[in-house]
Amino acid sequence: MKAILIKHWLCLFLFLGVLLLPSAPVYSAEPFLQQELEIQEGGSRRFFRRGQGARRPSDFVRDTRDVRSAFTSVVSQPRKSTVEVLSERERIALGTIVDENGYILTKASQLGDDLQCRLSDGRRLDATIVGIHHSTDLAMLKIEDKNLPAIQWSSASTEVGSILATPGLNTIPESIGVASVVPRQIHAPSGILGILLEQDDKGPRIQQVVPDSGAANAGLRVDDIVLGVNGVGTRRREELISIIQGFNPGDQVYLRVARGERSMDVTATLGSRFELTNPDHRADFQNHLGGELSKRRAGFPQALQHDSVLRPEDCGGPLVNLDGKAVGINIARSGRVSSLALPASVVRPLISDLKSGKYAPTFSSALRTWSSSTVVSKENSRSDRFRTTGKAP
Amino acid sequence: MNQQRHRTAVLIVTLAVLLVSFGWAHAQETAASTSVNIAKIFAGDTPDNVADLKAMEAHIKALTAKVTPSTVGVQVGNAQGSGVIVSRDGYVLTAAHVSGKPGRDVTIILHDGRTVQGKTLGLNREIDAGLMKITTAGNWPFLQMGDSSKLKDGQWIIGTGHPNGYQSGRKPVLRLGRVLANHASVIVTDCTLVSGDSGGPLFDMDGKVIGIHSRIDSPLTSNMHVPANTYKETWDRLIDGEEWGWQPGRGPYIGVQGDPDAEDATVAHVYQGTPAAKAGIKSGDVIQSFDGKRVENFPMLAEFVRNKKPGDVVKIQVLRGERTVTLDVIIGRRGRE
Repeated sequence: MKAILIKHWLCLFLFLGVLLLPSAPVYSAEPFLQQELEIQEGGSRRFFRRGQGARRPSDFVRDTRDVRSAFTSVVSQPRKSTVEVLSERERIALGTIVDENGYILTKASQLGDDLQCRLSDGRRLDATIVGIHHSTDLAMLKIEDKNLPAIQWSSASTEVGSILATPGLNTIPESIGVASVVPRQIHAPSGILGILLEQDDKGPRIQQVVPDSGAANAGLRVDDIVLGVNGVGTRRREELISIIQGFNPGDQVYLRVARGERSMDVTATLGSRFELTNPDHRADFQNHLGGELSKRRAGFPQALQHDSVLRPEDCGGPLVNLDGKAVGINIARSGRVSSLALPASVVRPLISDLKSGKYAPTFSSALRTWSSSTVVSKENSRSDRFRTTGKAP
Repeated sequence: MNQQRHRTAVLIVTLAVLLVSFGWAHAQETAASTSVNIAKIFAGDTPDNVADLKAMEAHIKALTAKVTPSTVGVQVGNAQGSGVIVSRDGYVLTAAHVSGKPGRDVTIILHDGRTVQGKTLGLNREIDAGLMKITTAGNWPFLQMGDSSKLKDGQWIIGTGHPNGYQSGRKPVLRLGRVLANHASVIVTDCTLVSGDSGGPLFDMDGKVIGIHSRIDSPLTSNMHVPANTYKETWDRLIDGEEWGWQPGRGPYIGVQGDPDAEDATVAHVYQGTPAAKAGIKSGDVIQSFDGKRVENFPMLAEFVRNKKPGDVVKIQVLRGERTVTLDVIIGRRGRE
């Protein structure tokens, strides 16, 4: 059976501001360039040489077992400070032992019910959540054990080109790669309503509604005036834009709208920039080529981008340099070319508060955390604030 | 007494010199063997231990510092991609599907976020090679092109570019990989790419540009790059702003099928709604001439069609039974109709 593979030209059509809620300057609107996705049989396989004795491409890819074996001494210590986090007996994340008395950091939005940690010595111990820090997506787990090997942190900053390893429980690392970008803030994508606005005496007036956008689906029309969002008044165009940008794609907002003499309330579901500017989701689609991504993969105060290939369930464990010292905690598989790690300088100051109960999960947040990781990722603090202060109809 | 002291001093100095030179020679030897080892690994081998990895790391860090200033973001119309500066006066290699067509205005974003203006020059759509030039006056940080034909399977490479488009405050993004296949028209690596990287550079471990990012397949081991040699071989045409070739599956066509091994160009099938069908070509027609040129078989016809542009109107003469019929065909573009 011939596999159908997708050959994909990499052109990126980030339609800068055109037809978006005008947060960016509006560039000249060229016609949408034609989608150039092609389906081809065989794909790149036809490029590989065949024949007796020929090495297969899999023999010399970067991440072969042979290459990873060179890291044996690098991960010999940190792998003992690494755990597998299980939910209902299934591996959902890695974890990092940060205190010999059983405190383990992991990725909060991966967590589910019935948590256990599997240690490098093979033991499997029940774990409870003692702290959750939403902006970093870190959770502190506690297992009942003593004298555990806590991870050793690197105090040096990581330079681009540094070779990095992600230890698992085995003698060779789960994954390897290089630092791609120095740590930076990773903004959460903002929600898009899908309207163009101009300032009117009565408030922001809709000039244009993008077909199939959240605004269009909510029934908004040209010349409608948006009076408020979730009970917060929007006299000026900029106010409306700034409020909408505080939400994530997929969030619902309640809009107070004036149409002629009437005023009414409508509910709109926000879309993403890519959905609106590129109906075929080219960029989003390409980022998903090559493996599953973490559900929560943006909105971090600081993260180091590296090119190690991780699965979502490989996050939460340490990322180490060639001295075997942790430079950070892997926090997301964020795209086809990128994994993200919270730098040690961000993680370490949070440890004592996460242990102490300062960030103890409340019942409701625990419910959300444990019952649905997607809810956690969608509800960042800003949208929570608007929900609670706004008087939603 | 004095003389003995003097002799002792000479001996000590001599010994010291010997020791130092021995130590120096030893250090040289170690450095040399490390660099030989690294060269061997980068040429396609596997590192064995942490010493190898540390030597690789030091080299990659230095290389990154060298190649970053020449990696640029490009914005052509509403499309964003990447590029690399290859001459002091500002020639920039990119992908054909980023530049689109010759003579377009380009905004080029340097590694430090400064923007300069440029123009698109020539492009070869078939292999996805495109050239641009910075039109703002200046001396630009540039890198040399290497010999892409010498790339070996397993050879280590690095790539930079602007995945998902240029982001303010984010430098060009580094990736490390190896060559998985090398052909005259395409290099395949596991240096991962995504939209926005198009046009960005692939480097050998000497920091020479050996490829330009072009396209991907689904697996992480399917990242395709345009070989640098194709730019060198067609440099004059690219500089002159020539455009040629067709992206696979995109070229000019008329919509007829026939037996390529037959001794004439008999039409076996005419596809519905194609230029040939609209012009009235029927199955069984024997095509005799195309645009005044004699057609002897189907491969010849295909070649003539390939050299036309969509929209061209061409006279085709066919033998239909006993009669000779002349038809006007408007060349179409594959993938459009």
